[in-house]
Formats: sequence, structure tokens, C-alpha cells
Amino acid sequence: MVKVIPPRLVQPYLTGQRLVIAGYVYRASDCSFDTPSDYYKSLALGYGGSEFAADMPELFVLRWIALDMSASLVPGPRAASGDPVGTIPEFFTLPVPIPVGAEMDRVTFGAQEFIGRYDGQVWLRPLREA
Amino acid sequence: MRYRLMATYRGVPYEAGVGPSGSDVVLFAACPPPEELGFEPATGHWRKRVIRAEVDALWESRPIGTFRDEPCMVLDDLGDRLHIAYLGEDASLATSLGYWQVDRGVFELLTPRDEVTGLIEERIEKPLLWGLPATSFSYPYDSAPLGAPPAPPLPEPVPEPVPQPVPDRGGRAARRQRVPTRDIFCELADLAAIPRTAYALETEIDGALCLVPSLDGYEVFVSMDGARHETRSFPDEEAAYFYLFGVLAAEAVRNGVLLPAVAAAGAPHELS
Repeated sequence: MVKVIPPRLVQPYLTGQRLVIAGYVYRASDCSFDTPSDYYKSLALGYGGSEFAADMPELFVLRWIALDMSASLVPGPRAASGDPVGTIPEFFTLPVPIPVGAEMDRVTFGAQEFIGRYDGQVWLRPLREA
Repeated sequence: MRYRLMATYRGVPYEAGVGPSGSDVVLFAACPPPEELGFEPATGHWRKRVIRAEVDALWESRPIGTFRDEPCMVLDDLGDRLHIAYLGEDASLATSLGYWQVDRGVFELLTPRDEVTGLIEERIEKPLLWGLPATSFSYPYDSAPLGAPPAPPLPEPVPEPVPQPVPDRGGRAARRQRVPTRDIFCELADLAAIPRTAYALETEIDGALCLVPSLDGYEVFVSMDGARHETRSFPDEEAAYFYLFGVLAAEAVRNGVLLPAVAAAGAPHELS
């Protein structure tokens, strides 16, 4: 599964303040995008109040292996009329704990950088290259 | 009180996590549990990985209450304030109640504790026997084309053709002896987020910390400009692999990358 993280939530995740995944999530097989703008367009990230922009140079995403989320999936709050509509099947989840082993990646134009892996308590970050 | 996953193992409740696959449960303890339980020390906590069938119970602890006449759930407890999430389905109502939209359709806020009333802890039992999920989600790195039937969930991704541990039948100790030391090392190194370019196993790669068999055991050394530096010899494979792991982990700790990012712990949440 994939969750695009609003920029304001990236640090709360990495500092361990945010321990849940909530909102719209997608199947990873539907999200093989190469650039932030592909995510923006396909997932309709330009909703009212969005921090995302079509030309943003980077985007952070969470990825995890599908667990049984059937108990947490709900229709989701009704969207405001006029919000863009995505072309990718989307699922709305109530807050669920971040799965152990979830991965955070930074997507830039044509590239993807591994940011860290959640061990269930903290995010383990890779060694910095000297 | 805050929203979390819990599991009872041998009669004792622990905070828990599920993943990478649905059958993996990790138990967490702030203080070291009795040694015979086999918890391992990790950054700031003790942990033990079990399979789902080994726990007595697995449940979500959901603190539910009411904020301005609408249902909410407590995500975090900051003492005098609570971090709550709106559980209703009306976005404009959520906004009018004072919630921030932190993500599309996700409404949260920090509120003085006494504004949340009727707090109770819901306990939602999770099934212990793990089957295929009812929903049609698929493995995250699957590149199946749009519209293709979803693949069933797969175990943890293994990006390199590392030999797989034998299927677990519940006997952890027995399994451990059957798994080659190299596989244990690879699993630990990945869990510690040590990049695979930092080491070379049974081969010599310039710039990497290498482990190779020698005439009378194993050698671990830094390969640099075609020469071997800081060479250590070990009579047995296990000692060599764990020395290698220790050096890599020490390097990670020294660089500050194998630490939890807890600098802001306790600071107020930035929700806006």
C-alpha cells in the first residue's frame, strides 16, 4: 500500500510523534509514478486546503505490505464539491498503527530515495554516505 | 491513554506492532522482561518478534470520546492536552468544530483534556489466525498492470536473492539453528537499515567491510585500494558475522543514524 504524506506530517512521522496512518491510501501496484507531479495529478492531491503543489520538487510516501485493513476502511468524509477527482482507486482508512517494516521514501523527479524503515517504535535511518 | 495495538503473550500484555506481513507480531517493553522470554534490546525499548499464533490475544486499544457532541478518538495523550481525531463523516462539520484538516479527509486537533468527555477505552479484538485479507490489496512493490487481479499478500520483500529461512512452524529456537548465519546477519543488517553497499559477504569489494572464508576460518577486513586493512581472523563463521555486524552497527550508532529521532519527543504536536 502507499500513502502520500502531506509535507507538514513528514517530521511528526520521523520524530515519532505521529504513530498512525489515516486517510486516503492506494495500492502500490496502482502507483508506479516517477515524479511528484505524476502523484499530484493521478491522486488528485490538489484538494481544498492541500499543501501539495503540481510543481513541488519532492514528495514523501509511506509504503507497506498490505495488512488486513477491512475493519478500518470507511467511506471517508464527504469531499467538498469542486475538488479534483483522481483516476486511481482509493481507500479511506480510519487511523491505524503504522505497520512494522513500513518504509518511507522521498520521490523526486525520476528518482526515489530510501528515508527510513519503521521498527514499530522508531524510524531507522540508513547510514549516511561519507 | 492513547490509541495503540496490544498483545498478550504468556499472560502478560505488551504494546505490539504488526508487520511486515500480517502474521508477524512484534512485542515491545519499556523495561527488560524476564530473560527467558527472549526479548532483545533495541533503541529505547526491548522487543520480541513472534508469529501471530503465538500470542494469546491481539487487540486495538481505542480511546473513544466526545468532542463538542461529535465522536473522536485519542491518538496521543500529552497530559493536559489530548491529540484527537474526528471520527465522523462530515468534513465541513469537522472544520466548524475547530478541527484542522491535516490531510485530505483527516481532521485532528490538540484540545485541553477536559473538553473531551465520555472517554472510554474500546477493545477491538483482532483475529489470531491469519488468512488472506478480505480486501483485495496487494503487495506494495507489485508492478501488476491496472485492472489485473490483485496478487495475494507476500512475505517481507527480499530485494536480493538471499536464501529464505525455512517456513516457521512455531519452534523459534529450532528454526534459529537451521537458518544459516549469513541469513541471520542479512536480516539483522536490513532491520538496522545498514546499506548493503557497506559490506561484502564472501567476496571482496573495494570500499566495503568484507567477510571472506580463509584457510583456517574467516577474515573480516576493510578493503581499500586493493589492500586489506584492520584484518581480524575468526575460527568460526558465527563469530565472524557477529563481529562484522557489531562494527557496522557501531558505525551507524557513531554516525547517529541508528538512533531514534526523539529530539522533539514531548514537544507539542505541530498540526497546523
